[in-house]
Amino acid sequence: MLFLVFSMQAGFAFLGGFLRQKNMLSYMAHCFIDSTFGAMVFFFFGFAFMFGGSKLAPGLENGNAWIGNDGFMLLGGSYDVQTIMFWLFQMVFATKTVSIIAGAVAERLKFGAYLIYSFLVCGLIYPIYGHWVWGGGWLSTLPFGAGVKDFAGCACVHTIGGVMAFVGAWALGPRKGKYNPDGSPNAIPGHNIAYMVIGTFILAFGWFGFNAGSTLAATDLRISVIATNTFIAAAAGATVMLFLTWSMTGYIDVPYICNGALAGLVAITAPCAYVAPWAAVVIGVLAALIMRGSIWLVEVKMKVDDPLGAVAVHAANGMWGMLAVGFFADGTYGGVSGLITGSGWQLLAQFIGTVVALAWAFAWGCGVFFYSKISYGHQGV
Amino acid sequence: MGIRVSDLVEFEGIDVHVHGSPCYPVEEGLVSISGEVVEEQREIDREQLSILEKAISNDATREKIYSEKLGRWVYALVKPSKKK
Repeated sequence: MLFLVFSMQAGFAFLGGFLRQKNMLSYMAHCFIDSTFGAMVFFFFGFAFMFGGSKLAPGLENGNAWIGNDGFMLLGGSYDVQTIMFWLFQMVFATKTVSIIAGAVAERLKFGAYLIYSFLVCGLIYPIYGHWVWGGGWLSTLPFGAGVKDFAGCACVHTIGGVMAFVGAWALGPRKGKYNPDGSPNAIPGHNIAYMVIGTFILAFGWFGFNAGSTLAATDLRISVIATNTFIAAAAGATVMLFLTWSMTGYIDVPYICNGALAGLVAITAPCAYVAPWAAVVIGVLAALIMRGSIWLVEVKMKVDDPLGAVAVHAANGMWGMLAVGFFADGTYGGVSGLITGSGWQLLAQFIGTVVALAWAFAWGCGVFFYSKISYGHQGV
Repeated sequence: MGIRVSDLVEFEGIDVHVHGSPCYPVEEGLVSISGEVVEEQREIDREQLSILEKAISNDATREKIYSEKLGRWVYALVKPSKKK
């Protein structure tokens, strides 16, 4: 499963087709260093901060409700086949979080600055929030419902990455020529839409590993439900955008259809194990509409230039996916029961987890991006 | 150190300025290992082609015709019926 997730990095890289060709190499370099430099950071201390104290594998005993402190560099008790396999799987999740940011800050961020953010996201921002939800931290033990449930990373990966992406794009300002003097946005066409389609296919393929692999056991037969829900949500999102763009513009807008599928995939990431296939359709349909509305809000109203739509796809739908667990979980897996079973406590837990993710990423984003901007000036050499 | 690239870099593209090469290099002539365009080689190629063309034009078995298929003038073998 983890090898499928690793292939997603290639999918992210191909999404660069929606950028101008003069910056394609830069974007691909960002995606590539996430998988290498980011992985090193996660190896040295990110993994220990995230899973220390979780007791999910040998050598991960020490930690508290706020941060873990066991498993540094996979030394000592964590030098174990089970722990190392677990590290490999979790490492690719960490590197995906940074790659989400790359899409929003593309075509104008300095490479050195990107390295700093990659370091902070893989080493601190993602692991600490991840510890709260997946590492036995305080959010996972909330006394509401079954505690915060984020099966494969709607909040941990997509909300954290998407909100950081929003703050990054906001702090950087729009690309030259994106907005007219009257504030109306201009479309900056990508150089290869075919790449975007290929990237979406690769991401969708990798998502099967992303979600199904999060059972952490190939013997868990729930995998069939997870994989089916993952596919159905993506298909529903793409179908909605197909007919929506066709009816609104008269054209079948391929980038929007791709983003519709990606929105569905992001939104189903948290609820994939807890909901029935019919609910996955509803989640996917709403995810596409949320994505379309968020692009309008971010680009037209807030005037934040997000070249790949990372904020609309990942931040908005990461939050929607978290709340969807509270609405549609049917109690057939993991003891998670949502509003459709008559219980509102899980929805409350999901809401708290979502707000904390939003606040955590926003605070870090403002601190890092705006501090850099104010300290070093807006324009560099 | 600022977090945003300069206006010049943004205008000309990050790839050339930061990575030293565009993602899709434009193929303009031959380039030696040192990176210099090999003008000398291109000149030799042009001379050889002109000599070849002159030789073919003097060949009595060929005639200069316009090929609709290729969209250019070619020296084709004279058809047997024309020889008679």
